[in-house]
Amino acid sequence: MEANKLPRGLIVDLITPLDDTGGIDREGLGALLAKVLPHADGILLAGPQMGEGRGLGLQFKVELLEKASAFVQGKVPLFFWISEDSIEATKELLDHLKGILESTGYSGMVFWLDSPLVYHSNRGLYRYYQDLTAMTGRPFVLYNDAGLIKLLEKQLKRGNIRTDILKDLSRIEKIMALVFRGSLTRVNNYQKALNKRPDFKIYDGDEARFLEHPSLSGIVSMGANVAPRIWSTVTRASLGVLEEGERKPGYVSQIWEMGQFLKDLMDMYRRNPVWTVKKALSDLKIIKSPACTAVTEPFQEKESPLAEFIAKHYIE
Amino acid sequence: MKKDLRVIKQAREVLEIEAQGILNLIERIGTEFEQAVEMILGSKGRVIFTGMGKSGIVGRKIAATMNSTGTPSLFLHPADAIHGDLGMVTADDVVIAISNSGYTKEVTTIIPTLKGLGVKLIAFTGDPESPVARESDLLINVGVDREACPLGLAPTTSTTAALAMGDALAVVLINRRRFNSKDFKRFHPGGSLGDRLSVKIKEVMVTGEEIPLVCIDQTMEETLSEIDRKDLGASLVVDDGLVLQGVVTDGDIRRSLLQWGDIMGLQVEEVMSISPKTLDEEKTAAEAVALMEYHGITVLPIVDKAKRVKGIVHLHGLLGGKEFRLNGS
Repeated sequence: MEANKLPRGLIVDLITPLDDTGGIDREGLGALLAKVLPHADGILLAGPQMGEGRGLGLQFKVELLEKASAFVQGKVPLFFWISEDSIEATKELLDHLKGILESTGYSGMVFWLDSPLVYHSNRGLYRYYQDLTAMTGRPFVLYNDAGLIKLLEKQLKRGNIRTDILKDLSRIEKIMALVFRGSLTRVNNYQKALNKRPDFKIYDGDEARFLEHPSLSGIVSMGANVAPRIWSTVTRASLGVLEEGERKPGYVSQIWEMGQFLKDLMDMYRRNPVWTVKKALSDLKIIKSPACTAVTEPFQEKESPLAEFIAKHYIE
Repeated sequence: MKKDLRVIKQAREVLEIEAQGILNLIERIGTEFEQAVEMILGSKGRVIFTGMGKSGIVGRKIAATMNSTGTPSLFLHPADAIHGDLGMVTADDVVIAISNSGYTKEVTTIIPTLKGLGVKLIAFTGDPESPVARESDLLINVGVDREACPLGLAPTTSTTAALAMGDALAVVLINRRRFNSKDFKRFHPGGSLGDRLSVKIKEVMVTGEEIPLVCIDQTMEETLSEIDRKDLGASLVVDDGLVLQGVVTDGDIRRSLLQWGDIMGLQVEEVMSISPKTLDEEKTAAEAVALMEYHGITVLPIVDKAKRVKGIVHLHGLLGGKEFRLNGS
């Protein structure tokens, strides 16, 4: 496997399966990875959206990386969200994660995904990342989501990484990509600022955006937890990299139908994606429980029609 | 109302994405682009574009732009190439392969043969690590970050970017070749009527061997043969010094047939119109058209001050009914 080569395609924003005691559902994690790995180009662990990264403790995260990497075995790159509430906590987590990879001798690719504005302002970010990237040999991917910053009610002036700051950060070779959620105008400005780094990738972090105007780097997908094959096909079609054998007569209308299907699917989990997806996976006996961390909005409904919908459409 | 707003928003997004796709190419213009220009200028052959699907359509358009601006160019369909059309490629040519993914099977299939012929190969692709890029002598990166069309149903930003890069190449070549307005008119005979008629007659008149011409002592049989051969519906009649003596037109022949019946044995001077309208070669095509329309004639001898024949123009030729060929330098 090529060193530090960013994948192009589908990155699954994996849910974190919990058992009823709040620990990792090891079997569920294995079963879920077995289901998504054949279709994924990358796996995001402990992400701020589906992975409930904000609700997981340090030891839990270390254990999650250990267990997930043992299942993945370097088949696809891993992305691990490292952002904590402070610089110190983030560095401490990074240190522990680095330690577990070293102790297990994991040779697969791991990218540290960081949302700096969760714990740091735009000011001084370049110097901070010079320092942070020196801590580890593994590369970094930034995560820009103004919605997340707003949710955290941070007293920051800005919820987005400033374009000129991103331009500066792109001078750091170890920062290789950005997962982006936000306006089209902003991502266009980011792209303009990054044009001296043609290798720099911008992944869509917004499924609806990707289905309308796909980033040619790929997508970080929530829905791929429950429909990995369809998401993979639609992603590869959007990137223009479908295999020769997949371009059978009528494939264009099939791709169109798959796209519409994914939009319907999104409508089903939009309101509370973590709980809805976990409930479906639990109903399908892939994970033990729909249990969520405290950061996930408590859901009042006892039933979710998503599992029924998935079973009805024979989604693999 | 909401629906309408959505339509406008979506359309604006598409334009924003495509515009950004082109803007991002600006920083990529560098050494490779300069080398591509020099490669084309240095080649004795043509620039041959190849590509499948919409990339092929882009290739056709860039080839047309290059032809219009002084760089001999043609399009080679990759599928036809493997069925014999590779025969049109020579070692002197430069081939530009357009493939956004860089993996297009039909294109990669013909590359070994092209390289075997010794042609120089330039890749227009979005993936510098693709087979098309790796096999090329030069890579022009036309990659884009985002497509405007959903689900990869049709390439949009990527084809726009490739087209814009092709235009950049063609325009740079125009300047490097010192292509001027006279050259432009030579390559644009099918342009707007105003453009066509602004040229001087000497640039568009029929000259040399193509002028229907008989001597005053020749017979009508010989004259009819000349008219038939040169296909302008008329023949000029001159003396030994090429001084214009008259014109025989289809109308003159029709009237003579009605008057005399068999005209084959007649001398041409018995049938020709004397003192035909003429014009100087420095006048414009527009003046020639005006003169012909005013007098209800379709051919006009072009003569110098001594009435020596320099050429001939036909009304339809100037207005577009026939091929409009510039005959300048």
